[in-house]
Amino acid sequence: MFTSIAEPEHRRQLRDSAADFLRRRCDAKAVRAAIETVDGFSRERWKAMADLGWTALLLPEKAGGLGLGFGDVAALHHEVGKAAAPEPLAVVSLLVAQAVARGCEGALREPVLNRLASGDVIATLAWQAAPGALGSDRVGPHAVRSGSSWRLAGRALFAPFAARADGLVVAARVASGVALFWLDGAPPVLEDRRLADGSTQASLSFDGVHLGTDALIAGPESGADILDGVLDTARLAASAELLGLAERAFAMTMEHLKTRRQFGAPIGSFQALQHRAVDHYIRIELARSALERAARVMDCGAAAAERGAEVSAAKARCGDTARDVARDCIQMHGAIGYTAECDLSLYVNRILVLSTWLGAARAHRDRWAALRLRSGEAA
Amino acid sequence: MNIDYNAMDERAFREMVRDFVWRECPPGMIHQARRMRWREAKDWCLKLAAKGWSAPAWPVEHGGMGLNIDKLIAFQDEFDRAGVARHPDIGLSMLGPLLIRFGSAQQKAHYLPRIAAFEDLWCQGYSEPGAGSDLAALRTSATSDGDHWVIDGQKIWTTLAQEATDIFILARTDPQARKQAGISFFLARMNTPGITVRPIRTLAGDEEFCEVFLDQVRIPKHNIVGAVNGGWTMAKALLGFERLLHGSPKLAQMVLLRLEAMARATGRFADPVFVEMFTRLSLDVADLAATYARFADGLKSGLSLGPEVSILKIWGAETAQRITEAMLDMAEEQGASRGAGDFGGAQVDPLGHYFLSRPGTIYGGSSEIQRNILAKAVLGLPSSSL
Ligand SMILES: Cc1cc2nc3c(=O)[nH]c(=O)nc-3n(C[C@H](O)[C@H](O)[C@H](O)COP(=O)(O)OP(=O)(O)OC[C@H]3O[C@@H](n4cnc5c(N)ncnc54)[C@H](O)[C@@H]3O)c2cc1C
Repeated sequence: MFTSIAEPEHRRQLRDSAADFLRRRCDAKAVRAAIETVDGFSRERWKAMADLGWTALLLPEKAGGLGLGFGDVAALHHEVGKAAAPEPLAVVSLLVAQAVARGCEGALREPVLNRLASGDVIATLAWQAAPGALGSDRVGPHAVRSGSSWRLAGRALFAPFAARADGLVVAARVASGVALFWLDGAPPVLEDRRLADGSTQASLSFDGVHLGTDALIAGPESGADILDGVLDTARLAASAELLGLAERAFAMTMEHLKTRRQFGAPIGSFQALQHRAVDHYIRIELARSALERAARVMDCGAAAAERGAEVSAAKARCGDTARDVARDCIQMHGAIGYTAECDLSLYVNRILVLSTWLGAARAHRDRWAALRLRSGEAA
Repeated sequence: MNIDYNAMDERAFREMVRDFVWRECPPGMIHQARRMRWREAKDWCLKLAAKGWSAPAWPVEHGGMGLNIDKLIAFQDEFDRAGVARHPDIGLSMLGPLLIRFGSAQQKAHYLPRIAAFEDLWCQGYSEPGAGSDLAALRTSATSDGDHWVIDGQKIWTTLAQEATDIFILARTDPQARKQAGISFFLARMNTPGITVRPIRTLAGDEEFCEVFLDQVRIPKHNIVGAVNGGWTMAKALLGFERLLHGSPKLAQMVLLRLEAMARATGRFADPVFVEMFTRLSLDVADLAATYARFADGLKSGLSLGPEVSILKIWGAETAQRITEAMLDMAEEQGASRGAGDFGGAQVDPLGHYFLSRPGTIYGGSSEIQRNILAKAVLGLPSSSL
């Protein structure tokens, strides 16, 4: 296979150590055991990931982080995807910790970031008003200031792991924009749902929730930008995981095509399957290119619109590719591919979740079109 | 009470069926995105049997309704419109027609009424670990021992074997003969000593199929259908019935109706892009139904099922898959959840339907195998020289 431009040394090391950890601690058996628990992931492994610094990749070094970039985030999550690891890494380290790190200057900052980075708490982000919503223009909860407190109301959909979380960042519409708050303790869960991959997602109601003014992470002057920024960062990570998931599912299928025999020959010798395999190989390479492009643009500090277009392009490409790969890998396996016992199922189920998380392909193509076409600029 | 359904006016016939279905079918059987278990389907099945409606396609003399093709399609259509889930039907749709055609008089008299009354639930013992698409590579053996056959081997992917009372088995009776030539078709009770069943969980999380181990299973000599070493004819005829069953517009029709319910409740018909896509899928189903009717018509007028029946299986299964993918797309984030969700008031389970439509291109001869058949047996294309 032709390779991408050589990765910087530190990134290669990050990849190698991640791959090594995942090989040891997160094989298919371990994933299976974790997704069958109430949490849907392993708290022990989560803690170990935090100890490796995975929760603090983007945090500045003076905040105890690794001070790395988006290309590094993509590399780590690519490896995480290859292992189908179910831990809420992108949620805690990219959505929540990044919102706090970018927004919060006050007394909350140090203790919350420390708790998040250490792996001691699971936290989530609540913001989404409706299915298909992609950003700060579609925030569900709202808040008004009354005296020394904030009164919250309204709902947020699809908050990952909310019923298992010990705290959350909530984005709320306020008089002049969007503000972000930190809410300590169990989130106000309305309905908790189990997803295909064993993880959970809840809708939340903030009616009757009061927060002190010290709970404010970011006011209306920066809240929306921060929210959109962390969402795009997490989308980059989700795209990388999708690529990793698709690649591994595809590799397992190629192995099957070489070993499974019918009609006296390996089924991989049948041209119908060869052509299908090649089509997916092409799709996966396109997804890799889209992901690398998005990470590069983000590392160059692109403006929000440029970043949004590239991230949406990558999420749409990686999501669709992964879903198509999953579908055809089942087909090329035959009946064994339709079983839970086959490791392929771990990949298929996770792909079905991540391809919709933070926006399915069509929503992202719409966003790309809105950013690139309707503003008159050619693609 | 012998009603001549075929003499009825279609409108009146449909009303009669609709009325019964809406009145009698338990809510738990409606709009299910998975295969029903016997305990869930039992009440409904027994009601159908009591009414004499369990075997609409069988001739009246064997306890069926004897419907002609138009009535049969209307009958099925009313079930689909009400959203009635598929009940255990392997005996009714596969073994029954086979026995009617190839069974001995005693076999017909014994088995057919029991199938129609749901006294016996059948499962299909064809596939083996080493014999999937290449069914004729099967290795399960049957040897003659006095007035018994002794069966040894293993079957896999046997749908709902854990609740079946009976199994039909393809086994090799002549190890010397060419692949297809030495195979026979057997009938066995599941409680025969030597049969053990291990359920296998599907991707969707249900225990829908099983491994069936056959260890020195002794069955009476007369439990063979057709001639010794004549099983391949039977196997193929049954696969033809199976392809006709899976080529029926039922699954595609059901999921299309769910897609429509979702789209109506969420106002998607105001979106011209959606309308265009929905129309295309609707016509895919409508033209499948018309093609199905042509095949079924041919059957009734005495033509036997040719290799062209693969058209139905391919188009039916793949259309259903396109529809469930459209459901997933429309569901956006909700498409990741297990179980039914709320779509503007409509309760739909897009992920469940997506999973349920996947194996349609694998079982009963995969889409690739069906395409191979059409390419060689119908289009007359040469074999690869590689
Ligand atoms: C949900 C479900 C229920 C089932 N229920 C039953 C049942 O009740 N009883 C029963 O006996 N069986 C049952 N089956 C088994 C089914 O009939 C087999 O899965 C099917 O025959 C395919 O065999 P396989 O799974 O071994 O796949 P394989 O034959 O190994 O095929 C793997 C892949 O290779 C492709 N392939 C194989 N040969 C060729 C070729 N020559 N050219 C191009 N491509 C090729 C196939 O299309 C497939 O994509 C069921 C299967 C499923 C999924």
